[in-house]
Formats: sequence, structure tokens, C-alpha cells
Amino acid sequence: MIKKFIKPAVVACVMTLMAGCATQTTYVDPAQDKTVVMGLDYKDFNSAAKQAVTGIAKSPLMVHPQMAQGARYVISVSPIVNDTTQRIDTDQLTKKMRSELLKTGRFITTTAVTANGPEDAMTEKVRKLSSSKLINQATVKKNGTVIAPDFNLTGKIIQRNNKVDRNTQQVDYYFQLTLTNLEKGLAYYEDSIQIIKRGSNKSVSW
Amino acid sequence: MTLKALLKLTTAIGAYSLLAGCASVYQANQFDGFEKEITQGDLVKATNDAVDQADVDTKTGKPTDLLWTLQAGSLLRMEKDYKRSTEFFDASEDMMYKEDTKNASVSAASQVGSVLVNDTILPYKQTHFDGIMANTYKAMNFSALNDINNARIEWNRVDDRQRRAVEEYSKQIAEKKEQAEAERKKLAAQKTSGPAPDINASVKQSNAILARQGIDMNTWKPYAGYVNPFTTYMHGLYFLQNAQDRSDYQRAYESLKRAYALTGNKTVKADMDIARQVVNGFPPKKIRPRVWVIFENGLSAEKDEFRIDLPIVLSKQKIIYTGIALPKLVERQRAYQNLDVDGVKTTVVGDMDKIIKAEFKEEFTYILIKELARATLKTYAQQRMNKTNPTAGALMTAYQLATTSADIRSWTTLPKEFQVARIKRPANGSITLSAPGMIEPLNVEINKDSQFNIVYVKAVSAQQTPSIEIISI
Repeated sequence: MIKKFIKPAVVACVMTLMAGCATQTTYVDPAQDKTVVMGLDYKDFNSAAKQAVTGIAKSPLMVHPQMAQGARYVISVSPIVNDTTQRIDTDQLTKKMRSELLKTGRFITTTAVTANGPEDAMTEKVRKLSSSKLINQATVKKNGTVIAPDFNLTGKIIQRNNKVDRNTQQVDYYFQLTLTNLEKGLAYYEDSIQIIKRGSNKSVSW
Repeated sequence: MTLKALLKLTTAIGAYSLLAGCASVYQANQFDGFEKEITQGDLVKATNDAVDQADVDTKTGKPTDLLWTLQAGSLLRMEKDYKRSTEFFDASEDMMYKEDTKNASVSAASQVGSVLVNDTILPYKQTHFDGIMANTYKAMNFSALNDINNARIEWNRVDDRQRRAVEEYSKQIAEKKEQAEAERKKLAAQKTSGPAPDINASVKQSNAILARQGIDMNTWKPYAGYVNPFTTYMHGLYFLQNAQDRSDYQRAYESLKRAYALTGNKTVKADMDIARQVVNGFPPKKIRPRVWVIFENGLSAEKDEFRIDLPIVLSKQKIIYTGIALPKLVERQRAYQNLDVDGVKTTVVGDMDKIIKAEFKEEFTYILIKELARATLKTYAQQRMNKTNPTAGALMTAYQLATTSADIRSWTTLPKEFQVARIKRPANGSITLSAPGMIEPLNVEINKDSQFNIVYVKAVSAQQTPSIEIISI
């Protein structure tokens, strides 16, 4: 009978020893990072943003007629709706997209206008300095100089979970993105970028 | 048996009996005292007790006891401490995840211990409806704080948990059968000579006795697909009221349609009709302003222990009747039959007792097999010891008595049922809630500029003033 008590005790000791060996904190090289999680992480946002911007840049509709003269399309980026099961900050995606759009050299993003208010409120605030005695009025930015966007980017991240077999579940993420020509109200670019993951079905994926 | 061996055995038996006895008595006292606080309206004390029992880790600031974390989360919500309530429910989800993904060897070690003692020494394992209700309450918490983005995430989680529940039920039934078979084999291995005890015969004979004692669960039926229709309804209502695009209205319609199919509730049908019209092009802004009253009524069925002599079939010739402790469900009262909302009566949109019974019914067969296996093991040990050493046999009898106890843990702050009523938004922004037996009617001020208002009422008993929250959209 005593033998039966020993088994759980040994297991408990092993567990205690294992708990003592805490994981060490290390740096991760993003280029070499092969760790995959069921949720969305920086690798997914980077990958989706790059795919989307490559798609936009490739589209013949997105070539400015005066591109050769240095003209650029101005794009506003609205907040992306998070329709997943995870508490993620979708700014991770929009920031990456803004940066990738700028890197192409063919687009400029505005921080003064988005569907939910400006990305940077200072464009508006600095104009209120025109009544300040403190400020050199010659340096105050004038009204009527801010550039309105030509296009607006909107999107939604949705998630679908499915059982593959008894032990495996599949999580499909769709980054649904639309770029609307604001003059015509027409979608000049639309895509649904998929990121598919498979993993344990023991518990929920978040 | 030497004196030294007898001493060792006495110490071990004593320690285990004490552990099991303490766990069982502690468990019963915990629930009795807690229930009194809730039904007598001492919510502050009940909340503090639940938070204490949730055993918050001083280093991480997070609770560590799953069941009491759920109890505390729902009480903090009643007290409108939404942020803290959500923190508790978040922690409960972490614990559920750990429980689901627990290493097999740790789980097996716990099971070994529990076979020798009883299930009260095992960590609390969540039910499916625990998870679904934790996310439902979190979604409501976020809505109460006007955080519709995080509410959406919780409704998506609810969707996934409901989907998983259907799969898990069939998987668990298969697993329970496997576990029961393993118990049976383990038991057979105990017998060194002669025929093995017949656990299947024990179960068969026990079921007949339990049915004669009124423990008959054949009439307990789940909602189709084990869905919680209240959660499905609230999911639909959220997407109807907070839709950001056409697909959200489609989702609202699908959920309301499902909730209507499950309940036949007329208010749900009226909501479903609105969602359908919007999907077909009716402008959402033209939906007439309305007020929904959601009513959490009374307290859900809880577990209680009952003891019964059941047959242990040791062999064809030898059947021993021994005392076994099993959990049973005991229904609790509604606070009111329904609420009257300016002349409109609330009607049932989700019967929590029905959901609890359906899950308990699936679990019960396994609990019975496990209890019979446990009793057989202890009876065996007792008989063997009696033959060789009557003192050790007597000790074993005492041990068996002390360790026979049922696991009666459950989330006891859930309501018995959910009801709903819908009225046009009154021009003066005031609605009156009344019910037969209510001390005095309640006047509730809603936001008369909002297109949609939800008045969420929770009444535990008729003796207390219900708690009310208002969500304006």
C-alpha cells in the first residue's frame, strides 16, 4: 500500500524540480525566429502587411498618372477591426502597412485624417497657435495646406476555427483589406490574405 | 504485520482520512455559508469571501482557485466592479487552459490519489457551461463599459467554446468510457486469485436501485447541440446593436434564428425579424428605438451529496452492499415567476438548470463507475486486512467511512434561468419593473437618446432588491 503513495510523491518531486528550472530570458532574431503560436504575433502582422503592400504596389490602378514627375498618391489608413478571439492591437498591422507603403516611394500616408479621427492631432492643434503671443506667428502653419487623401485603407481580421482530427485544430486568419478611391468611391484594391495554423486541440486557441 | 508496519499504515490511513475528511467537511461548510450570504443579500460579504477563497497569489496578483475565481467574477460583476470582474474571469480562462493542457503524468498522479481518497482532493475541472458563461459575462462587462471592441472578442470566444462543446461532448463520452474501462481493468488486477469483481454488474444493479430512489435522469435532455440559447441570443443581440458591416447583421440573424429555434421565444423571433429585414436592406438607423430587459432569475441547481448502499459485485456468489457517496442536483428557487416591464412580461430565453442537468447527466455515469471502483478497492483492502490483522481491518473500515465523500463543487452563483422582454423606448426615459412578491416596483431611468437600451436585472431571491445595470447603445 505504501508503494502506492510513493508514486504520486515521486511525480510531485519531479514536477517541483522541473518548476525550479525556470526558462532563461534570451534575445530573439526576428529573421531566424521559427517559433509558431496559435494566436497572431509580430511575424504574422509583418507577413500580412508585406503581402498587402506588394499587392497594392503591383496594381496598375495604383500608378499615379504624374508619377514620373514625382506625384504620389496620399493614403489614409483607418483602424482595422479585430474580429478574432484574441486581444490584439491591430495598430501593429496598420503601422507596419504605413511603413511598407512609405518604403515603396510611390505612396504617402496621412496622419491628419482617418475614419476615426487623426492619427496625429498636432496637425490641427498647431494651427490654434495663431492666437498665441508666445509663438512667432511667421512660423505658425497656415490653414489650407493639409493634403486630403486620395485613397483610404480599411480592413478586418477574422478568424475561423475548425477541428482537423481528435488532437488537432486549424485556425484560419483572414486579413481582409480594401483600398477605396475616395473620389470615385470604388475599390481599387481588395485582398484577403490568409494565415493558417494547425496545433493542439486540447484547449481553446487563445 | 509487525508493529512498525502497523504504525506506518495507521499514520498513512490517519493522514489520508484527515485530508479527505477535512476536504469534504470544508467543502460543505464553504458552500453553505456562502449561499446564506447571497440569499440573505449580503453581497459584499459574499464577494469578499469568494475573493478570499479564490486564493489570490500575492506575487502575481492573480487568483489561483478556478471555481472560486468564477464565483468571485460573477459577484464582482453584480457589484458593477466590471474591471475586476473581467480580471477574475480572465484568470479563470488561464486556469481552464492549464487544466485542459495539463501534462498527462501530473493528471494521472492526481487520479491515483483520488482513487485512494475521493474526488474532492482533485483540482476543480470546469464544465463546458462554465467556460461559455465566463466569456458571456466578460462580454457583458465590456459592453457595460462601452468597450464594444473587446466585447466582440468575447462573443467570438463564446462562439468557439459553443462549437468546441459539441465536439468535446462526444470526445469526452468516449474518453469517459475508456477511463471506466481502465478502472475496471485496474480493479481486476487487484485480485490475485479467483474471479475479478464485476464492475459492469455493479453499475447495472446500481442504476436500477438509483432509479427506484428517484435518481432518474432519463427525462433530462440538453438543448440541441448542447447550445446555451441565452448566450446565443445575447450574441445575436450584440451584433444587431453594434454591427459594423453587413456581415455582422448576417451573424446577428443567424444567432437569433438559432436561439429562436431552441426556445420558441416570441421576443427572440421579433429580434430575428428585425435582423432579417436589415440583412435584406432595411436601413439600421431606422430601427425603432427599443429597450430590452434581460432578467437573471434565482439561483441554478447545485450539487448535494447523498449516501446510498449500492451493490459491489465481488463475484457471482458474493455481493456486498456498501455505503457510497454520490452527487445529486438540487434545484433552487426562482426569485420571481417573471418581471412585468410596463405591462410586458419577461419570458424564458435560456434555462440554466436544463443546461446544468444535461452536462451532469453525461458526467454521472463516470462518477458512479469511479465511486463503485473506489468502494470495491477499499472493501477489498478491508476484507484482506480483516483476515490477516483485525486491527488493521478496523482501521481500514474507519478510513473508508472517513474518505467516502462526493464532489459537490459547482459554480453556484449562476441563475436558474434567463428571461427577456422588449418594449418601445418610452418618451420619458423611465420604465417600471414589478413582479408579484417584489417589495416595491423599481423605476429605472434609461438613456432616452440612445437607439437601444439594455436593462440587465439580476434577482437572486424575492427578499432582495435586484441589481440593475443599463447599457445604452
